[in-house]
Amino acid sequence: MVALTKNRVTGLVSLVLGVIYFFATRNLPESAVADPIGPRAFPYIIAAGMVIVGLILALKREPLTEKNKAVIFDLATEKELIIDIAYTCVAGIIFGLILEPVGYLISTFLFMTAMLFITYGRRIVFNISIGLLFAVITYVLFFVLLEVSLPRGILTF
Amino acid sequence: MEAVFSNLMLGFANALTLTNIVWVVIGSFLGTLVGMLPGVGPATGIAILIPVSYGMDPTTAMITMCAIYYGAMFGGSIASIMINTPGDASSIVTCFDGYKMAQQGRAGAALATSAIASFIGGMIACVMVVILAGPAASLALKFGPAEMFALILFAMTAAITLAEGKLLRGCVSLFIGLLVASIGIDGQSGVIRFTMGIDAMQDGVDFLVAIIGAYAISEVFNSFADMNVVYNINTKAIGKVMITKEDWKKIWLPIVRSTPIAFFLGCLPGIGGSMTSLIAYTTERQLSKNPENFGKGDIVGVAAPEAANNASATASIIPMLAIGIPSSGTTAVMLGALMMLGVQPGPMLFEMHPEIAWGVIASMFIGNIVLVFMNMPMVPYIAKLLALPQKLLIPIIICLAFMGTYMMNYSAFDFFFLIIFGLVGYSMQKLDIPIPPLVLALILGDTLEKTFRQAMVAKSGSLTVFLDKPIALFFIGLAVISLLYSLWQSKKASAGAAEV
Repeated sequence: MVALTKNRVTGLVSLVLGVIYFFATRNLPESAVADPIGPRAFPYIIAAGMVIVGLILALKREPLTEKNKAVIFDLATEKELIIDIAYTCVAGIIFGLILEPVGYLISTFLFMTAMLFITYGRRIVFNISIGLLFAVITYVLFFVLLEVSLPRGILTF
Repeated sequence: MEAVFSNLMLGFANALTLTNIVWVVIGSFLGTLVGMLPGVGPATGIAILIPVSYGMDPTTAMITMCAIYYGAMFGGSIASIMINTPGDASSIVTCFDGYKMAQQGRAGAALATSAIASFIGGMIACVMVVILAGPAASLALKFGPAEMFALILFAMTAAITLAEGKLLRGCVSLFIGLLVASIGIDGQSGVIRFTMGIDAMQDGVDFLVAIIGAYAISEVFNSFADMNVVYNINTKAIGKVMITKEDWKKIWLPIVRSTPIAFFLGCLPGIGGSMTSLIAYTTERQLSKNPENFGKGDIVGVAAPEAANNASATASIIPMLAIGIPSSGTTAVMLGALMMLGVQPGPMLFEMHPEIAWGVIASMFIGNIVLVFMNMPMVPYIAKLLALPQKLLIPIIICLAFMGTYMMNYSAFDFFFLIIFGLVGYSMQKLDIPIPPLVLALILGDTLEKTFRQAMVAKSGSLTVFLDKPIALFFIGLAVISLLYSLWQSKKASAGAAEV
């Protein structure tokens, strides 16, 4: 079995990205204006670099050790961590979806509270209070004191 | 010399406004606070505190960011000394003797040494910045596209060869950054590249969003694993934050010795504070009459790396401000934030807006003074904040990162990129792929391509254009030598490992 070392995984990622990038570059349209070098030259160089470095890394022979073993998420021991990261990503995307329609205050309150639920678990009153406090303080700081424009959404103030 | 003096006075006149001084104090405090968080270094600190600079004029923003930078470095040292957990890589070395001193009941002396060494190192470095920033900008003014291309190329190779000794993985990091930087409308031909038909990507991926993702969000993901750790801080055990006469006699020379070397290393791209502080530490150990005391709580082991650390941080402002090329992850973030505020760092900044360039340099003096006088008496109280639960700090950091991202372009679509780059940064950390080359490429990728094409056009597409320009040839030569040297070193290292 091929040893999945950090070098090999990095190399494979580079190789795959390089190949995709090469074909994407090939499909680019020609420049409409006079441009002797063109929009493809530089991406071709990057793609070639990625493929070459990728191949060197992927083909590197080295014994698999604890130190060079490629582990991004260890399903056996890091289940909670993976769940926390997944929840954070989902919360972030929902934050992005509701921020403008609902407004800064409510969406930030919801996002902060959601994050506190991820880190603190079910401390409902604490999480909600801190979430509310954070949203209000940052709103005052940015909107009122620093005069940064923020979406008001459904609230009129 | 007279011109330098009058420029510096202009800078002080600009920096010494009440607003700016207030922001130096706030920035130093916020930076110290963020820098203390384990794993959160100055780059992440500045990245998540960027929103604070919105609405400020560029001078104030830059002054605040410099203050955050210094503060974060001092905060990192507090964490190193008090809990043996460095805030960032550059304060790792401080752990060696700083924590040992704290265990021996000399935390106060260690913290004072850190503050004093940082102050002296920072101040000497500031004087050197005053002397060298102007000439550096004047030299850079003479650079055409070929020279600029070669310089950026050298900066990038230095970032992958010198930074962490992971040459090939550093190359991958660099290439990924260049790939991302090429997304969007090509400025020279107008061709839309690699947007996958998504309109929101036509302007490209905002590099600051990518940087906040790769630094701040990935740090948060990392810290989820340790969020239940609570640090017990006994502030009474810190004692008086002061050093004795005997201590001073021991540390002054190492501080003064470490600073100039660290300064010149700090000007080079890719050499971060971690390497300069390590060099200062090992040099002092070699020069010491009692090298066996190093690692057991020797006060020189705190003083030398702390002075070096601050000197190199101060020095890294020169290439960022005078040439427009960041030499570290932190200055890359600062550069990005400045560009967002409509200021283009580089030689023209000294010509067109000397008040900004020199205002920043003057503010570095003020920042150093504020830090030493504010932090020394405040340290016991500031250190208490180390006991704040990670469970509370993580949501705050992540919320600030999201808010900062939104306020940059007023586009919630950027959250998507933020998360993607958070995951990319996290994976890179797990695979031991250095992040600074990615950041450098994200910021300079566009300029690298532009200067390459402009230079090539001058000679009808022939690569010989670079051979005709001595400065360009010099930097390309340096880039090739550093690559070959790094390859040779890694070959030697792997041969050594095989023998073992």
